[in-house]
Amino acid sequence: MLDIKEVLFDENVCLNLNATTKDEAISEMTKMLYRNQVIEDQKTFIKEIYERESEGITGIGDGIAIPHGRSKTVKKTVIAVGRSNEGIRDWETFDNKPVKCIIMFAIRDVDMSQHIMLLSHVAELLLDEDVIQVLHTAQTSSEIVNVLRKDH
Amino acid sequence: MNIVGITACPTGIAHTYITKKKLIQAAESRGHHCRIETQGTIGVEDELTPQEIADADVVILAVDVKIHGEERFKGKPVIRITTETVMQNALGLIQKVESLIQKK
Repeated sequence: MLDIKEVLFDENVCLNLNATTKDEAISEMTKMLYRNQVIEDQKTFIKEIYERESEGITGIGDGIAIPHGRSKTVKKTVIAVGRSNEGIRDWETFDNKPVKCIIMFAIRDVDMSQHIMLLSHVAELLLDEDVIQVLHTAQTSSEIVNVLRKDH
Repeated sequence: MNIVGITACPTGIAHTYITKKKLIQAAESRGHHCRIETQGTIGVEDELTPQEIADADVVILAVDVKIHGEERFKGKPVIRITTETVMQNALGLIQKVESLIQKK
């Protein structure tokens, strides 16, 4: 399998989002992806994210949410991480806890299966208590990269 | 019990695999054997074998989209739910399945 470093870069990790609502968080993280030249058009990407949101809850519990969008406007498949220390209360979740760590998948429209396998593996890791703990407490982006990289 | 199942979600990237893991964790915590096939964007993984299906006491389909190969489960007790049900309460689901199957 590919290494997580192929899709998770320090520059796409933000440990102190200003956002306090779901809309603000999605737009703040989209802006980051735009700034880092991952996506070409913010509006299109946000639309894809909300399309997936409309199909079901992405707040998977324990303060973690995994919005994801597959779109032509994505130039390179990446994982972005955003953390809100205050917590986002209007994100629909399975346990009604506020969302504090957002793992966003930006997926290129036509992508190799290897990237998708990597994303799926990361999704599975998000059920691991040790991983969740690090996501909520990490002080640096490299701690986050390392915990998602670890083969559990 | 021997449980087999399939998970599949709309994008086929995240929930398919999270649901699989949740089902297996919950089933094993109740002492069951559980094998899950995923049907995601990249296709079928961990495909169930005819023998595994033959040996299964119950089939759990946690699917939000149309799946392939449902005819393989003909004659088996099939429980069809959405991935959301599993995300919400996997353990509760397994306990419900236990009572349904044991009543038969």
